[in-house]
Order: sequence, then C-alpha cells, then structure tokens
Amino acid sequence: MSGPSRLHRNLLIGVVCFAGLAVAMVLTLRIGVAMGWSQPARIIAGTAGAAALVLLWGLFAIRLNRSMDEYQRWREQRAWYVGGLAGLLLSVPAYAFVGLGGLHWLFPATDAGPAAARAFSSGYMLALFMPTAGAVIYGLWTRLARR
Amino acid sequence: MKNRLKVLRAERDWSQGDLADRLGVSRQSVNAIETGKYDPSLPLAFRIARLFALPIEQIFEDGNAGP
Repeated sequence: MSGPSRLHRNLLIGVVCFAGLAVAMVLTLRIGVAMGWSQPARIIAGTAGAAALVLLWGLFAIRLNRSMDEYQRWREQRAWYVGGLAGLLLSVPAYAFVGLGGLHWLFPATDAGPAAARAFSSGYMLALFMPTAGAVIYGLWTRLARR
Repeated sequence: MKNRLKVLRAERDWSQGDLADRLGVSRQSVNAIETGKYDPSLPLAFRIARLFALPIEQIFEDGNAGP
C-alpha cells in the first residue's frame, strides 16, 4: 500500500476508534448517573476515559507520523508550530477579557462570580501551561540528547 | 532553491504521481518540491539524483551560491 493510502487508512481508523471510545465513555457516564454513581466515581470514570482517549490518540499520532513522508511531516510540524503559537497568542486577550468579567458585562444573566472566575483561570492556565511546558521540555531534551 | 525536476519529469513523460511512486513519496511532496515550496532532505535529493541518473547539482541549483 502506498504512503498516502496508508496515511488515509490510519487516519480513518484513528478517527473511528477515537469517536467510538468517546461515545462509549459518554454512554458509560450517563448509565452511571442513571444507576446513581457517586460524584467521585463519576470523576474517576470520566478521568480514566479521557486518559484512555488520549492514549489511543497518542498511539495513532505515532502511526500517522510514521505513515507520512518528509514533506507531509514538515507541513504538519509547521502547521502545529505556526497555528498553535498563533492560537496561543490570540487566546491571551480573550483570556483577559473573560477573566475581567467581559462575558458578564455582555450577558449580565451569566453566572460569573469569583468562583467561576477562579475556575476559568485554572482551566485556562492548564491549557496554556501544558503545551508551553511540553515544548520547553522537548526542546531541552533534544538539545541534551544531541550532545 | 530552484530545481529542474519538472523539466526532467516532462522529458520522461511522467506525471507527478508517477514520479511520486518511483520516489516513494506523496504526489503533494513532488508538487511542493517542483514549485519550490519545499526543499527536499539530502537522502531524498540523492534518491532523485539516482532516479534521473544525474549529479545533484544538475537538478538542484543553489540560489545563494557565489561566483
């Protein structure tokens, strides 16, 4: 099977498996709620399901990367770097706007008290910190590994 | 970096897909190299040179080369 066909097949398998597992996770949680699972049980089940999804996507990302030729790999890395960095930078003013109560200002009915603001900040910082930390760690690792 | 890939391919009456199959890369890669959007790695440049039985410098031209 040629490179592009293998790439498309792996991509299709990855998307179908990911969607299947995501639906299974949502159904499991709904059944759990109907059966009266406690909140810790739902949190643990949901977190484990999310970890399984990430693991599956990580495995398929490796397969996809191996199916690509050098130009496709270069294009993908460039898209993630340029697009990801642009998205990250654009998110900063959006974060400031929402964090300072912009949504509450636009939609006064929105529940945007201090607790919601703290939850929003924590969620944003996690999403901002993890990719940045990942990029820094990977950069350091490649520098040290080449010595 | 400029190259003569399109001319060499046309001389042999190969489509981009034919050349891609012979090189073991995607058609998009051949198109990107031909249009100068992407400079191939050294291993791929050597594969291209072997395929056309030409030295690399007769296929790829270094635009920054001095006199």
